[in-house]
Amino acid sequence: MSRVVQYTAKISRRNFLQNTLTITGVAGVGLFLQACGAQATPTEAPKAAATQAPPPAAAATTVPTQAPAAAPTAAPTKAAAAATGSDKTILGLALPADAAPYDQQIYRCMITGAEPQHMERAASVSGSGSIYPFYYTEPLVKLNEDNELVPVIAESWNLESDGLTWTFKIRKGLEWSDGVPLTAKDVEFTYQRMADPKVAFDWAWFFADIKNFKEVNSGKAPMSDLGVKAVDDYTFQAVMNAPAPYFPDKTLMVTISPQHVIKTTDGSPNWSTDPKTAVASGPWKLASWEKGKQIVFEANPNYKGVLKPFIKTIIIKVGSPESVQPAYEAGEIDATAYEGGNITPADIAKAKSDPARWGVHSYVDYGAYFLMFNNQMDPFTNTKVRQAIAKSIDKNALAGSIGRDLSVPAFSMLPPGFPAHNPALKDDDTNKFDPAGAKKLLADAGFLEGKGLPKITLYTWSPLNALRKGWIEGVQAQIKKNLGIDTELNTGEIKVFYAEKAKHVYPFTFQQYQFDYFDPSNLLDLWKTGNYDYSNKDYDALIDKADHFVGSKEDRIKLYQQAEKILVDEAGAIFLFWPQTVQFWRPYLKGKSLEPSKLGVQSFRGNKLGLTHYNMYITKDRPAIKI
Amino acid sequence: MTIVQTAQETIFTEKPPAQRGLYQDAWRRFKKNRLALIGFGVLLLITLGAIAAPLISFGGYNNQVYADAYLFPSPQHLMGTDGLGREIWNRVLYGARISLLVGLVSQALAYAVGIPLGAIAGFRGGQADYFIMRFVDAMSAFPSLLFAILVMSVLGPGVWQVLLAISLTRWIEGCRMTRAQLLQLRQSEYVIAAQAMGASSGRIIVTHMLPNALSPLIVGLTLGIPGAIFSEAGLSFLGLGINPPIPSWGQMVGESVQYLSYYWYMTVFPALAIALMMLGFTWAGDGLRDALDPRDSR
Repeated sequence: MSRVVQYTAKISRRNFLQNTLTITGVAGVGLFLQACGAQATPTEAPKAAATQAPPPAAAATTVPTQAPAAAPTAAPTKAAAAATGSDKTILGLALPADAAPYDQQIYRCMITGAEPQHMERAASVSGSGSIYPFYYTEPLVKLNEDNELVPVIAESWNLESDGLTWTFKIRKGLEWSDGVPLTAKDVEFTYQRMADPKVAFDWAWFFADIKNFKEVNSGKAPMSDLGVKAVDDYTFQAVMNAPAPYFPDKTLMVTISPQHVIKTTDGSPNWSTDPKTAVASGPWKLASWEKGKQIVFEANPNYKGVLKPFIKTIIIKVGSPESVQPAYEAGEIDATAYEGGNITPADIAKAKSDPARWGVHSYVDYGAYFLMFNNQMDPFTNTKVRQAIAKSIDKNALAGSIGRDLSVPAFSMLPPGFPAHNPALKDDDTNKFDPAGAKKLLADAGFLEGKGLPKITLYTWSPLNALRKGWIEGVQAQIKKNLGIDTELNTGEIKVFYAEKAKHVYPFTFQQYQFDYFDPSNLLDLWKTGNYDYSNKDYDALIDKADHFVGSKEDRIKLYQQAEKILVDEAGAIFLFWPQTVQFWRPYLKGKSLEPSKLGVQSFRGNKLGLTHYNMYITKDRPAIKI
Repeated sequence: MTIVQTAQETIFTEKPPAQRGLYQDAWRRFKKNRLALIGFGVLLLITLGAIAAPLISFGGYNNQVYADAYLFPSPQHLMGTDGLGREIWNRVLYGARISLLVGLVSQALAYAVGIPLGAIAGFRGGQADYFIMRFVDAMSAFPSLLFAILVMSVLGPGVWQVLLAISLTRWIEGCRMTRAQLLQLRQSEYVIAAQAMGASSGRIIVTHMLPNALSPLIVGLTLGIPGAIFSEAGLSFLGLGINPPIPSWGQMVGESVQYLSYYWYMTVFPALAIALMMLGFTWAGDGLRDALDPRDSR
């Protein structure tokens, strides 16, 4: 006994020091939290305090009394409900056997881009952020893990015999969270809202397929002329200007807005920022939104739709590109699911050193990075010059070094997994790295060893991130080494660059494009004369035919593949790489979307298209968290 | 009485000390300052490295060996390699050239503009002084880095653009310093004497006043050069500086900072180089200031 006392007395000075440090640490954390609430939310204070206190025995007596004083905002909002949760969701769905209790089905993530201004998709795409409207409102259709369209609000859809009218059957019994039925009238209202010039929808171009959409949007025609109509409460029709086989794919970009709520307001999208007015048609509803801190969605008990999730609460913290990795490492968020573009090869190398802890996942994104020629400007009017440059670049070597883990060497515009992707183009002669062949082509074009060529300037936008800068330096070095051609880099401010580019004044540019909807027309229309700097009549004809094709899907895809072959063959552009997105998902997250799909790719992407949040759950492996 | 006499005798009989000019004195004091010598040595090493870069680097600053990408420092790769398989060692060596070039040339440019303007303002006084100084005030109202960013975004990236952007705000200091010195020296007897003898203003400024105003200008130089280098590093860090693939330290730090969580060496070595050069200039500059200050008679 006395020995113990003595021991305690002996170490007390050290304890004292530790306690002091702990208190300082906690106070510091508290101050830090108050000062920059954007990075870490007040509710995390107890957790942060716990990790700050090294020896439990020493800290236990000090911390609880100190922590509230240091972080007064850290009031526990809910009692800890670790072991008391149910094994059924609020909608009656049974949780898998290895799942944590329902109260613990809390998914935390962080947004690293700009915080949305509101969450109404039909009012603005960029203003509503990329995914937020999709948690609490639903579109007509969604994409599943295998990139197939699945019905959501629409039960089914078909093309009428005129080839122009799409009819969507709306699911019966759907309700908004305030009990008002969701009908085809809401759908009609949403599509009218996007065309309304007063709303100034920023993606109006996207729906220009709809009859009279452009005219109504520019105020030249009345709203009644718009080619959308609620035939009855459960039938919605959209009439196209010309056959548009991809129209149902486009509808997944927009969630349906509540007509009955918006009609009582001034028409602004601000109804979606307040939990009182933000009625939900999706399986979650807005619970709170602290600007600059976090957005919280809770399960919607009145959900009548088909996508029943396991996750009860979604917490979206507002962060920055710099804070997402540290937050993930510290266990404050469960995944780095959004805008993973800031992840560098360094982060990935670090994660791969301990993959079980980090949960590294990657997929080839639906987009491409490419060097684009203006084939209306010398010397790029000469196909051989373009092909020579294409053949002088060793894409595989660059993708394996500077682009490691973040790029897959590309050989076409359409990435693997995208409809009409053509693996045969890999062996297209233009895609083969061949310095000798490149030199010969250049000589055939009349520029032996690059003599007689005008100065070549490569244009791109600034700021350059490490990946783009590395690729550009690599490409420049390869062209110099293999063809003896010097290229100069010119970076313009992003808005200036795109404004100038639209005037077709740049002969040679480094660019990228990310898909908007899941149809080849999206990525191949860009190369039609007048859009990008490429111009080829045969290409235009094939694309026009395919875009408005009425007939079998396979025949349509063949047309796109023929067109893309022309583009690749004559090097209208050099497709450098398809971006590979890497995300970290803690291994305690499980779900169908986190497994490889039929296509062999994981479709866990945290964006609007995926069903990840619907089939994902949190296993018992995660220590209980409090919110 | 006798004591006083003795003292006088001593004074007169002792050989007068050898005449030492300001610069000999300064050199003697500088030699005694160990920190200043170390700083000077560091600068000398960096300069030698920059000059001898082609001899002591292996393959130049843009030799891309893709198979050797992302290698940590080792005997084969002294400072490791970057994502394109280029030796960091080579790039640090060649980066020193840019840093020194920017530092020396932009400061020279700044003085070439600043000193004549300051001299006119300080010597002439009156309206010339008023207009020049108001212009200086207006220019110094711009934060220098923001002004440089503005100039760079108009001119686009490149070595000469960087030099111009940096010099555009740096001449102010030299101008102010020269003016202050000349205002003071204008009252001194030898200037008045020269004026009385009919010397021209230009002659008085160049042969009588500037040599006497030199020491603060030299000190200003040793502090201005690292300032200019730092500005370049800042601009390049922001992606507005030197055009790739020519390396500059600021640019190397700027792009590799994204890799810091794992490939630490990509950031650490160029950052270390910047720090060493800054330290060298600061120590040497401090030593020079102490050495050139006649009031300080250590």
